[in-house]
Amino acid sequence: MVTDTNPGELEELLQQWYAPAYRTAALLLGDAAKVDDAVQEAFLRLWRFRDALPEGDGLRPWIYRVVVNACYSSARTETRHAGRRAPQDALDAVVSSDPTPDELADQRDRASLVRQAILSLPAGLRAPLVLRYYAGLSEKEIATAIRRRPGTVKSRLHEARRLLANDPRLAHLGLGLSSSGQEEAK
Amino acid sequence: MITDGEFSALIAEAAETIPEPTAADAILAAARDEIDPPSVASPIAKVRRHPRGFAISALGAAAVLAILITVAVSSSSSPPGIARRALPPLALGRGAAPAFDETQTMAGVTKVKDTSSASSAASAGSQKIITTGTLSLVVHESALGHVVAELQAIATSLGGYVSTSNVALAGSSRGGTVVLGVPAGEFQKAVSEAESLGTLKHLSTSATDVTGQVADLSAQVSALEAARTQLEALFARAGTIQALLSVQNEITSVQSQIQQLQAQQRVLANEISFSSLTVALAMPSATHGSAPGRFSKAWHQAVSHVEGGLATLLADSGIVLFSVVLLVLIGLLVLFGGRLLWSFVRRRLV
Repeated sequence: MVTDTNPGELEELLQQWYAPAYRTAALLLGDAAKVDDAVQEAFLRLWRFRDALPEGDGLRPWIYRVVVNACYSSARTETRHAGRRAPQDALDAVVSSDPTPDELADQRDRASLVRQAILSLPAGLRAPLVLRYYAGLSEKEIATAIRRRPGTVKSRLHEARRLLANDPRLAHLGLGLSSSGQEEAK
Repeated sequence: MITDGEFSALIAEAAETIPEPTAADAILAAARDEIDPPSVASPIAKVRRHPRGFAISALGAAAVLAILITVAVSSSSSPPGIARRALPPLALGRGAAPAFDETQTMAGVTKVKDTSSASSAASAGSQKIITTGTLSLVVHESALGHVVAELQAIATSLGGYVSTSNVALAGSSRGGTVVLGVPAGEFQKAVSEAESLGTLKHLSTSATDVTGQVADLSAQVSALEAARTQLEALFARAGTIQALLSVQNEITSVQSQIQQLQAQQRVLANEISFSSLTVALAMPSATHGSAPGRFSKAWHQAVSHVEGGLATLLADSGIVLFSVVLLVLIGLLVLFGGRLLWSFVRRRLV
């Protein structure tokens, strides 16, 4: 548990968690400026409530919970601003628009395609997916992180996988459900 | 088809291509700005680190304090019941007008007044109050017939009536019940005159505010009468037999509802203007027969002594003990309330 006000403790926290937290936020938000803000806000929240951080295995879902909440807050802010600018969904605003065939031809990089596909998922599906397959959290830990029941997490993960499997940008990757995933779906 | 592991690797690969973050220094700088006083382990100090948390906790503590002060002030303005019970037993004055503002047990006589629904209403002239009372008297068997006649005389003299009389004047189960209906303004007088006819064992009175019910009934009747007027106009203009019958049915239905409501109004008006006083008459032998056994009596005596002891302690310690107990309670509530609030705020904000 981080209990000291010494910034050295925060440095340790940042060294261990900043990169995964930042990449998680990047996968959730897409927009670099928003990601910076969200991650900074998340770590400041962690710092303010450092005495309340759980120890051991409980720390990891807690940190991701704070990061996801900060991202949601950032997305909501974007929603309000976007509402003033134009009637456009906030998450659409941080997700690049569907690439044209020409753009698709330019985006040969598989990672870039995967990121775009993830960002095009609904926000409620994106967080469980990223936490499961990038952060490596279990369904139970994800449930803690996003404050949902494990059953909800499971169904959202399945739905996210299904949407990605049907995403034309990723068609060539063969992202159909694995045999275990198909059994879960049944 | 790819497996979960391959899918994880794919997403990890996508994440790894995100440029290495470099803004950690900004976070450190912001955190340093927040470090002013050293961390203190107390919950209050923890809350102070966050202005929203502190404000919510302070509001919660203030609310708890305000409630406790309100309770304490209202308690001190009306003496606690236990202190009243500590008073020496009072002889029940015959013919004295009872002024019951609380439950009292005095010399084996129970007096109860329920004004929960009409305590404030009684002072307002426009309020509609239904008052009822129950009186238990022990009378000598030779005086039973006389008491029944006296009760009838009391009701008549006050402008009321005997609504029910069910009294056995002979046999082993002598006694019974007489229900008087007396004008509401004469209720207290009827109670005091009736209790003078025997040994009072129990008295309870109840006042129920039915102002809202009366107003509601009146409004319903008015609305239905307006509907009936409109239906009558429709009836006059109906062009076909079918329409006539249909409107007639509606008028009959509305009329029936109006009559039902008006009957309720009459019942309510009667209950408001005439208070009901139920007088239960019992023989002395009956009370002996139901006297508690030795064990029960000893138990009641023990309870009574404990109550008396507590009352004496309270009376001797006075306001000091009361204040100490109150302060301890306030302290505990603020402490636990603050911790609960802190826990809640922490979970919401993190």
